[in-house]
This record gives sequence, C-alpha cells and structure tokens, in this order.
Amino acid sequence: VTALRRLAGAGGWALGLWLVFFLLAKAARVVVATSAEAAMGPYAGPVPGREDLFAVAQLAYRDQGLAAALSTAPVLMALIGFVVWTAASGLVVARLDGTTGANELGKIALGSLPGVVAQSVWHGILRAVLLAVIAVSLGPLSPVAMLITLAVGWLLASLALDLARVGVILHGARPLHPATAAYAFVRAATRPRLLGLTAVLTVAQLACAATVTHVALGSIGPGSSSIASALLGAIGIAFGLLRLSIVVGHGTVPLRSMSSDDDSDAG
Amino acid sequence: MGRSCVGQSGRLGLVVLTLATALACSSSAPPAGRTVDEPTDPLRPQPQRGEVPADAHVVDYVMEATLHPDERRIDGKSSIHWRNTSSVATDRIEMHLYMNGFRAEDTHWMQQGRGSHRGNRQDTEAPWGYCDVTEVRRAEGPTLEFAEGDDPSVMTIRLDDPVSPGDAVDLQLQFTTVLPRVFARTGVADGFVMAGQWFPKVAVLEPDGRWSNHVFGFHSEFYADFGDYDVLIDVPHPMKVGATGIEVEAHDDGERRRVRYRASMVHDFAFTAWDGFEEWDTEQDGIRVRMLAPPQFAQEVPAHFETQLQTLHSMEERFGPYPWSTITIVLPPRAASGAMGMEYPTLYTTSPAEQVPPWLAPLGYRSRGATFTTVHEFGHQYFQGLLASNEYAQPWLDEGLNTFSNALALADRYGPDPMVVELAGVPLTLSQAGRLLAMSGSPSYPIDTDADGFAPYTGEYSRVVYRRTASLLATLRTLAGQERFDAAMRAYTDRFRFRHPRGEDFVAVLIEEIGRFVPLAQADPELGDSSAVQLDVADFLRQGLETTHDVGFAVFATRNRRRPGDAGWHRNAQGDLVGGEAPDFTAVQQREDADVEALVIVQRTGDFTVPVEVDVEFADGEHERLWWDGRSRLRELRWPGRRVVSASVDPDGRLLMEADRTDNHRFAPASIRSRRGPAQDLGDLAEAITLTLLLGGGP
Repeated sequence: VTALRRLAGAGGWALGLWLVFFLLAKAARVVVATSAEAAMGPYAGPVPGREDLFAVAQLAYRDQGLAAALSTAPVLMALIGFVVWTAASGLVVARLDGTTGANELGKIALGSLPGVVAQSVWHGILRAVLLAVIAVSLGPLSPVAMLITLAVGWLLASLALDLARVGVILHGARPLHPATAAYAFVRAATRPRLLGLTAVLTVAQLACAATVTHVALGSIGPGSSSIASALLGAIGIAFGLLRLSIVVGHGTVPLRSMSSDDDSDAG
Repeated sequence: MGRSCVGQSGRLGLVVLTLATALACSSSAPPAGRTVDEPTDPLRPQPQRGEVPADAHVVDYVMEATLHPDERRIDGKSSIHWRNTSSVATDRIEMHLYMNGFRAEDTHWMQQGRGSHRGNRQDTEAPWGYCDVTEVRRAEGPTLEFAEGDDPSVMTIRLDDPVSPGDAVDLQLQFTTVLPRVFARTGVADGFVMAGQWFPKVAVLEPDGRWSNHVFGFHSEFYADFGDYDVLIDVPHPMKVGATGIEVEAHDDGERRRVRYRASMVHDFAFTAWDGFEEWDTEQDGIRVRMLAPPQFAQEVPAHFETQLQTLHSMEERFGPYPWSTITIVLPPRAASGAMGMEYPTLYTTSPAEQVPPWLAPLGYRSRGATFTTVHEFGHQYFQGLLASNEYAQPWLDEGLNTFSNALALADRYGPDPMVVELAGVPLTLSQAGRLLAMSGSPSYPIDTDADGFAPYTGEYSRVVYRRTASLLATLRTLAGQERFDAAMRAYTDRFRFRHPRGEDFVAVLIEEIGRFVPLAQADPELGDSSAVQLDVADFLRQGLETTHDVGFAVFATRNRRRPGDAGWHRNAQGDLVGGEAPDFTAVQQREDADVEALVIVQRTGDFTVPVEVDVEFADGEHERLWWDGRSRLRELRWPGRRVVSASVDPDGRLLMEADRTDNHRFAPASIRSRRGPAQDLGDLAEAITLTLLLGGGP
C-alpha cells in the first residue's frame, strides 16, 4: 500500500515515461507502415479473403528493405527508450522516495547518472553470465529445468538491477564499482519475500509485454491493436514502477552497507 | 473477420494458459512392447490388397547379412533369381552397388554432395562406405566375370549364356559392405545401424532390351523391379531389428540374434538394428504398424501413430489399397540425424516431432507440421514404392506426386486448405505457405528434368521437383474440378500399381480422364469474348512440366472514367456538320452513374498461359465474376454506366502456382473504404514489438 502511495505520488513521472515509450513505439510504426505502403504502391488497402497473415508475410518476404525496417526500427526505438529510462531513473527513484523539489531532483538525477549507467552495464554483464551458466549447465540435463531456472534467474536479476540502482541513487552505494551490482544479486537472492513480491510484478509486466505482441498478431486483418497496445503499455509500466517503488521502500538498510563511506560492512 | 480490442482483452489469460500448458503438459508415454501379432504373409489378403499382376514379378532375392556393428561391416551372401521380361535376350546383368557412392571423393555421389547432406557432414573417422563384391557365379555353376562401371556405384556381370526373353537366371553373389558413419540416410552412429542400399541389386531391363542402370547421384536412388526378398539378418545380441516385410523367424543364443524377414513384391530391402530401440505397435485394417524409437521419444509415439493411420486412410481412399501387411516407422536417435526422413519399402525413417520454441508459445504459435515427415515418408510407399517410376529420369513422379498427396492427406485430416501455422489465432494455410516458399523467383529448371540435371546446393531440386509439381497438380485440381481430377489420379494409381509409370503415362491418363478441354465459361459478347473460355489440359501440363514459366497475374488498372458523350461535330441527315459543343469534363465523382464507365485492366505478368477468374466489385455492392482466357498480356474490361470499387484477379486463389499475390487486388482511386491493410498491420506489429522490448527491458 505504501509502495502504491509512493507510485501515485510519482504519477506524473510514470505518465511521462509511458508517453515516451508510446511515442517511440509510434515512431517505429510510422517508419514501418510508410515503408510498407511505399512497397505496396497502388495495391495498398485491405486484402480480401482469408489472406491477412499471408499478405503481411508475403510483403515482408518480397521486400527485403521492408523486412529490414521491421526488424531494426523496433530495436532502435527500444534502445533509445532504454537510454531515456536509464537517464530518467535517477529522477523517478528520487521521486518515489518522496523528493519533490525540482532542484533537488535534478541534483540527484545528474549526480547519480554515471553510477546508474555503470551499474546498468555491470548488471548486464552479470545477468548475461548468470543466464549463460544456467543454460550451459542445465541445458544438456533437462530443458524444462533449464527453462524454469532461467525464468527464476531473470526474475532475480530484475530485482538485483532495481536494488543496485536504488542503492546508488538513494543510499550512496559505490556508483562505479562492479561489486555493487554483484552484491545486489546476493541481496536479491537472500530476500525471498522481496524477491517473491517483485517477481509477481515482473511476471505481470512481462505478461503485458508478451500480450502486446500477441494482440498485434491477433489483430492482423481489419482490426487495429494500437489502443490495446497503449493500454497494455501503461499497465506494464505501472507494474514495473510499482516494483521499483517496493524496492525503494525496502532497500534502505541493506544497501547502505555498500556505501563507499562504509566499506567495512560490504562483506 | 473483425477482431475487436474488447475481444482481445481476454488474451492475457490465454497467454498465461499457453505458457502453463507448455510447461506442464506432458502426456504419458504409451507402454512399449508388441501388442499386435506379426502378420504371416507380407502381402495383405487379396480382397484387401487388390490385384498383384504376375508379370510385374521380376526378381527374387534370398540373402544372408551378418552384421558386425563395431567394424560397420555386413558380410553378405545373395541368391538372385532374375527373369528377363524384355523382348530381347541379354548377355549381361546390370547391378546397383550404391553403397560405393560413399567409397571415395571421386564417386559421382561425392562429387555432387561434397561430404554433406541436408546439413549433416561426413565423418572424418568413419567417412567411407562401400560394397565389395568378391564372387559372382551361376547357381551351382561357374563363376562369372563382373566389373564395376566408370562409377563404382554400378556393376556389370557378364553372363556365359545369354538369357532369352521369358527365361530366368540364378546367380549367387558374395559381398562385404562397409557402412559409413551416417550422414546421408544410410550408415551407423553410436551402435545404431540403418542399412539402406547395402546389397548388390539388379537394375531394370526395359521392355526394349535397354538397361536402365543409372549411377548413384545426390538426388535419387530408386529404380528397380518388383520381387520377393527372404533375408536372414544376423546381429549381435541384444540388437533389435526392423526391416522391410514381415519377421518370420527369430533365434537368439545370447550372443547373436538371427532374424529372418520376408517381403513380397517390393523393389528394395532395408533394415535397421540397434540395442537402444523400444518397440511400439498398432494396427489398422489388418496392417501392423510398428514403431522403433529410442525411449526418450516415447511420448511422441502416439502422434506418429495417429499421423500414420490417418495418412494411410487418406492414401488408401484416394490411391487404392496399401498392399503390404506391415509398415515399420523408425525414429533414429539424435546422433543419427542423417538417417532421418527416408523411405524404403514398408519401412521408413522419420524425424522427431517439431518442438515449438518456448518463446513462440506466448505469441499463440500453433503448427500442424510436427509430424509431417511421417506423412511424407509414408506417402512414398505409394509414390514410388508401389508406383515404381524411374526416380533418376523423372523424379517429379516420385517426390512431386508424393508431396501433392501429402497436401491431400493433410486436407483429409484437417479440412480444405488447412492451417499449417497459426499466430495468435491468425492462420497461414497450406497453400499460402506453398506460395511463400515459391517466392524466390522463376525456377531454373522445368519439372520434367532428370535428377542429375539439378545443380546441387541451389535448392532448385526441392523447389521444382517437390513443390512446383505439387502446386501444378493442385492448380489443375482446382481448375478441372476436384472430383474429376481425383478420379483421374485414382485411374493413374490403379493402372500403374506395381508398374514403372513414365511421365507420359501420367499425362495421358490425366488427359484421358479429365478430358482435353475443361469448359470454364461461356462466351460473353458484352465483354468482347467471342468464344468460350476453357482450360486446355494438355497445354497446361506441357507448360507446367516442360517450361519454367511462372504463373502471374495483376490488376493493372481499376478506375472510373467519364463515359463518352455526344459532344463535338457530327453530320446530320443532310450531311452537314452540326453541334460542336465542348466536352463535359465534370469530375467523375460528381457525375451520374449513367455517365460513368468502370474500367478494369487485368494483366498476365507471368509467361504461363492459363485462364483466370476476375472479380469486380461495383459501387452498388454487386460483384461480377468472369473468366479471362489469359492468352494476351492485357485484357481491358469495361462496364458503361457503372462504377467500380475494386477488382481482384484469381479471387479464390485457384492458381496455386502463383507465388506473388500482392498485386492481385486493386481499388479504384478514391474508393478505398479503409486504409487498413498489410502496411498498417506491419506498422502495428512494429509498434507492438517496440513496446514489448521496452516493457521487457524497461522499468
């Protein structure tokens, strides 16, 4: 409830983040739809009969440039979105923590930016290593066990990233040191209640992510998935920010030990 | 067709359900073991199997094969009784030694394959296979001279006395066969043995006295006469054996296992042996269906059986009774993936059922192709196991007709033009998948090309022989009418069971049964058609089989224009020029319908000439359908006093040979009621993928 209240207090930021994501997705849409219309020339328009998916596949297959646009535009826009989110995460975390003054928010955001970037990089490496180890060690033994462990690893890593960021932004954890990212994994693994709670929210967020594409595929034909995508995007972002809000409320004590002022507690 | 956003709101539950199902669903494996008695006759009883023509019985083999799996060796003895069914005497017997295709890098097969096949590479420790014939003699008689051909995959035995037409000769051969580590259908892998093309086999003496004995090539391997096989297979204990025909005898002394198989009226014999096999079986109409597979594939045995039984039912209904009393399905271990997907008489190898990648499950991915290998390889029991065409000379009679029959089997199981892949409830049908696969431009070879005529590594063999043949026949079926076409196919399969049909036989039967011309539409003088539109079946098949012409049509133009009025100077009854009014250039949209003329121009973009249907939608909501003979490049269609909204060429997708249909439908300018179409769908997809990525990796 407290986390929800914190999130409600930062509603403007949540809305802003959703708007950025929404606009980036729309940009990808415009690029691809315009390319496709150009590729179709005078034959643009609804397709008669039971040929919706076929028409889309045929168009993408026939026009390699269009296929390239379809594969690169979303990735490019997503990368821009990640950069925006990484840059804005200091602001959002500080706001979730109750900071309101514009000057103070700006100071925290700018001051923590190098640390947030560094921790994102270290975290990315650690996440890749963790998932690779799981895949390599369990894959040959049992694909089902591997998939389940990969899912748990992913959920753990999601919490660890939040813990590392919150630690750097709010609690003075060493901003550039890889140990901060590594220790966040340890903290995540040793907080089962927190892990369980955030895992539920991460799963819900991922379900929203998968459903967006599922709905778009299901809408091939006369329907449009734009409104559904926007709504699901908003819900997914809310789940993600609620998770972050929970971590903001939870992470005060444990990650203080990672402070550069107090290395003796780090071990 | 419309799928509202409200309707999609429940899809979250569907996604979760799909994920849960993918993780949790595990049907229990059926118990292994024999439950159906092995038949006592390799052929089904006469009333069920139909007639087996006596004159088709040409050659019999009695063989012993002693397998030494560690050395990858088979010590073999063979007694052959061969009858000269040609019209001339022969002084030699031509033989296949196809295992010699794997003997060295300079064989014809290796020159073409260069040590790889379907993505499987030749092994470096056990790369070679060969068949070394050490002795040939007449039964109870003198030894005979024999020699390999320029390519070691063929051999000639010189007879001391010619064999006259109608006479027979008995030969005895001793040979040693060494199998490669399997990378191209036959060989060994970690104790698993798939022995195909392992023994010297008599080639075909054609009725005119000419031997058809083609060397073993990358794309083809079957052309032989029908006969009986009695084969004693001696393997180490506790190897389990599967083979062509029925098991008639088995002894196991704890060290060696000796199993005798008998097959009747088949043109090849293959066997498999492995101590890792589990065995399952089932039965349909007196046919024992047996499956040999490693235990880890136990759970998918029911799926293969279901596919097998439904395909058997479809093929029997369409192409006549399956004559043999057994069918053995072999699913090799993963280490022997090179052996997967190959047909032999009454035995074939399949591949594991396709596994849906976990990331596709949340997208609502569904496929019906999981056991397609089973459909395809069983189909070969007819094309070419029963209709034993020359696979080297006309591979389309084998692979092409089989691929076509596979599509029919799927349609019999799931309905007309069934979905093969579905994403989030949106289907891609079998015919659409076929069109997508054909979209890579015009073929480089006509269908009626011999197997060696196709350059390796171009993909043209499978594209032309398998898929183009199938789409050619599917197109003919839709144009000629399903019932008439199916009856013609049945006539072909009835007439050429246990025979060696040629392409011209097939064409002749189709023309005879369907008729040379199929009427499609009456003459329509209003549209300028002075003669009826009809399909010329012979010309259609000629183009399809002998040319590389593509089928392609487009709507070149769809528009409304002003109807010519009577402005201008005209002579009156007295011969004077009168009038001289200016023409009326009122915009078409503002004119009365009576002053407008609908214009549709359809275009034949491909070189293949075939009649095609055109559908025109008018502003009053009415549709008009007409046939165009497709002979000219362009055809102009006019409807004075009407407004056109859109036009479609081949609206029902009858021309399954046409790959690209993106230009088959066109709206008149300013007539598009909605801009929604594939471009917007792709845009929506891009938007959704972006959001998915952002949500997956964002806050």
